[in-house]
Amino acid sequence: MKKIFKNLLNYKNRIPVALFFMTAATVCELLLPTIMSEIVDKGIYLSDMEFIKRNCLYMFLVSLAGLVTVIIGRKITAEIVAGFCCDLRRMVFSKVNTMTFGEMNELGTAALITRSTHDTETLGWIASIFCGNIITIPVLFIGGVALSLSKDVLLSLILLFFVPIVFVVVILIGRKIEPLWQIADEFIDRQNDIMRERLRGIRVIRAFDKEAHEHERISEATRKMAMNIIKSNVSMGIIAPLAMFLLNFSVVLIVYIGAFRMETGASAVSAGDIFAVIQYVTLVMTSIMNAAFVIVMIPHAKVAANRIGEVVSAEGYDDKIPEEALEFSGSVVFDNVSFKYDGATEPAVSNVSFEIKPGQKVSVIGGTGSGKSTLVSLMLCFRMPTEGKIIYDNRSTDTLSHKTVRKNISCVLQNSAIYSGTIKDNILMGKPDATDEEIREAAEISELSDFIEGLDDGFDHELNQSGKNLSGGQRQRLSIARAVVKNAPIYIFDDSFSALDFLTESRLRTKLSKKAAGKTQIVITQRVTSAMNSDLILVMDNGFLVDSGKHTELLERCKIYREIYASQTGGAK
Amino acid sequence: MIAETKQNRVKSLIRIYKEAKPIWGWLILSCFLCLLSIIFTVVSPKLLGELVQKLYDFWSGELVTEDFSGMILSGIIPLIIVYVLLSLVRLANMYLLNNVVSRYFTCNIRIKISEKIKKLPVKFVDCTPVGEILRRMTDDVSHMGTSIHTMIETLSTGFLQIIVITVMMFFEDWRLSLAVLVITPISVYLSSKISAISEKHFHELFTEAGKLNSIVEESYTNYATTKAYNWESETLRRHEEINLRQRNAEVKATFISSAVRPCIAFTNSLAYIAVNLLGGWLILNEGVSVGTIVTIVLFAKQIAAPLEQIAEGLGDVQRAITSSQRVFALLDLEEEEPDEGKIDKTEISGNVKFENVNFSYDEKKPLIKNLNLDIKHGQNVAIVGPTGAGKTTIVNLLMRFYDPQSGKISIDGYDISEISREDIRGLFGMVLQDTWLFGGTVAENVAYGKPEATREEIISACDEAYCDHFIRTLPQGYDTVIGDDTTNISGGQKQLLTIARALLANHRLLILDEATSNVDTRTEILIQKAMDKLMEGKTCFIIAHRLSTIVDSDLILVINNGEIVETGKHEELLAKKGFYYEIYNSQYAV
Repeated sequence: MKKIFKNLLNYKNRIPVALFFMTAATVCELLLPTIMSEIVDKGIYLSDMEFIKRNCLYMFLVSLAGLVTVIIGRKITAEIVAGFCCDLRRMVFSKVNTMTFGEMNELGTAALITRSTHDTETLGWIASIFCGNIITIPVLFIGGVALSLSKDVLLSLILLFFVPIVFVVVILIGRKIEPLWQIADEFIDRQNDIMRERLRGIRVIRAFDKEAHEHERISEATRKMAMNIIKSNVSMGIIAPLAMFLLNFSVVLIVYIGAFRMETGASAVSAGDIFAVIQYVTLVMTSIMNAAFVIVMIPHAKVAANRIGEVVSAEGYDDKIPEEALEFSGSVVFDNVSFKYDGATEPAVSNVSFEIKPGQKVSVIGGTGSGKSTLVSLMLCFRMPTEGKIIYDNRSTDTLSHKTVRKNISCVLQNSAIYSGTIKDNILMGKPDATDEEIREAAEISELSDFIEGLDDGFDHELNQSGKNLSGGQRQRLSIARAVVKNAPIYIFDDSFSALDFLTESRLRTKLSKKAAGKTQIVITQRVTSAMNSDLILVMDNGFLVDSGKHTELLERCKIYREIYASQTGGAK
Repeated sequence: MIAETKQNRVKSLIRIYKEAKPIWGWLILSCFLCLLSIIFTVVSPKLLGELVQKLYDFWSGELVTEDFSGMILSGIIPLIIVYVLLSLVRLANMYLLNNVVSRYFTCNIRIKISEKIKKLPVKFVDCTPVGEILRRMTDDVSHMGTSIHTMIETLSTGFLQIIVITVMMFFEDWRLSLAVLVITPISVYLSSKISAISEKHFHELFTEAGKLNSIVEESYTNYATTKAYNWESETLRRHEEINLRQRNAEVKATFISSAVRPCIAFTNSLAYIAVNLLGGWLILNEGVSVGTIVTIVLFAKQIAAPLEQIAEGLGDVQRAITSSQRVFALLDLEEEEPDEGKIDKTEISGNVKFENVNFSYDEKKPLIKNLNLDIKHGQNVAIVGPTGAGKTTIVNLLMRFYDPQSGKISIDGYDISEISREDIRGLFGMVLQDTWLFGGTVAENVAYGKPEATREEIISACDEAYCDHFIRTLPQGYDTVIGDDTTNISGGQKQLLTIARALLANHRLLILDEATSNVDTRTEILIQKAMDKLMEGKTCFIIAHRLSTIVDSDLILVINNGEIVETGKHEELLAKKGFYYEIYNSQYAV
């Protein structure tokens, strides 16, 4: 919470200026009705043209001053609010950028996305409501109360008696609305989930002729959501007419008590004063109504701020070791490496030791949950081993900057990561200063040339968010092109050929091996045919390295490898 | 994709109005309530004014009475009644608007959209991002609902109030009334101009915010790759660039829209000044009574509030139009042609024939060219070929997710284009690589194709599909709730469930898109066994990934670039040393 509001310090010079102009504008607003009634009371009634002219001039000047100050004030406020939101978004985003993989996993990508988008937006929206009212509410309230007190104390007390009543009503309704909002949110999510599910499974649904059934499920969620939203809106809607009634009732009371005092002569009050107090009631009540809406927002803001707070308070990772201009030879050694995820009972990788020599083609094979991908995370320093050491050229990873390690690895991870921008931008990510020739070569090796040539704008073809306008296979090949253009001493492919057919994979890997001659290639795969021809095959099972060697050796001595082979090839060849 | 039709605004408004036909009656009632509340709002200050006048008179000694407080009390009672009525009418209208307008627009339109999806061709869903549809269904509909709600509330009350005030003013003095009224169009014009400018910036703001959100989503999902390529600073730079643009748009949008009210207040002050000056002159030179001038001055003061309301309401109209255009674009999409033909499931044995079939998704790129196939019942047909060659297209055509441009597909002699889509699809069982489970229990998911199945039938299907065992290890067994994103069962187990589903539904024809990725060895063996059981005695179309199916199938279709380049059995094709030979060997060539 504190960290979030610290951002306001960036505006410590402008905030008082904004406050000053907004106060001035509100004072003008307060003055206007007084001048207006003066003109009528003393000018029109007495037909005093001189008075009318003079006061009309005053009124014009005050209106103009009000207009100018309010516009300046609003302009500065808008800048502060927009700036605050901008800082907030930057703060959350850059924090997430420095998070460790552990922290990232704990909160989850989906939750982080809502925090960075929806929650910051909510907070920004509330900030703008808050800033719009922060000055007017107290100035109108204090001004109104002070003015009415100056006229008559007893009548003002009637007014002050109604203020807490309105507040109690607002707080009670606010409490009732909160859970309704929550339920409505739940059903919005449910409705969207079912819709997403339905659109994704449209073939199965239509094959089973179940559209009507899915439609009914969505309708039900929609109805429940609407019911809760309507309930909360109705509760909110009660506030305005109820407060208005209380206000009007206080006016009636003021008139009656004023009249009573006038009649009895005890502490008599003038008719003009009564009229004035009635006018001030309106001012005070306006400020209270606005305050009520701000109060209703507070629990909302608190929820959003707490959720953002969770992100901002993450420790993050601070790479203290300076980056070095090292170029690895390509040797990778795992020395008795174990890794356990936070809170897990079993290690994901247990006592793994192996040695990869520069230029070797290595495959890692195993079923889901065998720990293959964890090896990749460890090699890229996404996670640090809980036991043992990973050594590149006699240097253990804990003595190297993560940046140094990553600079030396060309990798394609399991879910091909594509960024919005052009195809070229995505390839350039591997080597920002690559020439057009290098880019073309990378595309050619990755079997992308045909696709790109078929596009009207070729390499400058714009890609959507996460490359959603590409097929799975195209995304995979583009990620490979990026790794190829980087051409680092070590290549890692984590299940990166799964969306390619055999023919494409074989062509691609032949060309790749030519390009990456002398470089270490590590391929994580489920397909036994992708692994067969490697210099070294590591067979993983349940976090253990059960065996390693060449295809023919493993086929002879490793039961698990044999099983995998048999199940995928049907025992052929 | 949904084409954005830039319809004319008036047309869109008329469309909204037509769309609201079922609630016209309620809308009229609501307007009537608005009118009532306006009458009460006009009457109450008059009553209050009279009371205050009495106070003045009593104070100055003009009014002499025995029981002054009693007299005030008798004046107060009607005032209280009016106040109570006013609050009640407002409450009633608020309740009505929420329950009728909000319910109709937020709930019914959403259900209408869901209903619409039912009738749209698969093609639409294939080409439209899910987020696009969801955004229309949630954000746009809710904008539409709230905007229309406020539109009715503020605009109609605003206009009615102005009309009432205008009429009453003209009864007093027409010259002064004109002076007041001149200002009205100026105010409305001014505010609509400012709103239009701010709306432009709001639009910009939403666009930038959308872009920023997609950058955030992309960065978080691509987190690992960003790190692996030391790309963090670049991601920050991209974020910051749009972040700043969003800020600038936000400053402009909020600032300009917040200027509407002060500008109107200022023009109203000018009107007030004009009325007073003119009024003073009229009293002195024309002998108009003081009372008349005072009344008009008070009205001039009252006209400010509805004007400001209208100004704000105009912004809502803008938003309602933009959102409703997007919603209507979805609702107006072309639907699948209705079809009636019936077929008796039990008579079908499963002979499938393709005759001169031509098809393409994109007119420029013909995909399936002059395809002829003759498949006898009980045969296993494997479809092999590189990605993008058109393997799934054959499935799309068979199940009428798409219709061919020319040629004929028939099942047991029935032309499928003459039979309803439901009946055709009812003939096929499907197991897709992309497993699909919905949020519900295991039993419900298995019984998806046969809702009336007994628990025994479900269990026996699961037993045959080798998933009974693992289902029993789940916390609630067959009643465990699972969904698409369930993590407590593996990808392979999901696949087994979809096989059980197909087994239970027991169709004459089968379509299998074999899955090999993300499955561990043991499950893989189970899946294979279960598939074999499922295929017994049925005509099967298999999009083949696994060698064993290719080897054993009765007919192999080798597809490249949409054309069947080779057909035959495994050995025959190998002997040909053609494209199939190349594909088959490439697996070992890596």
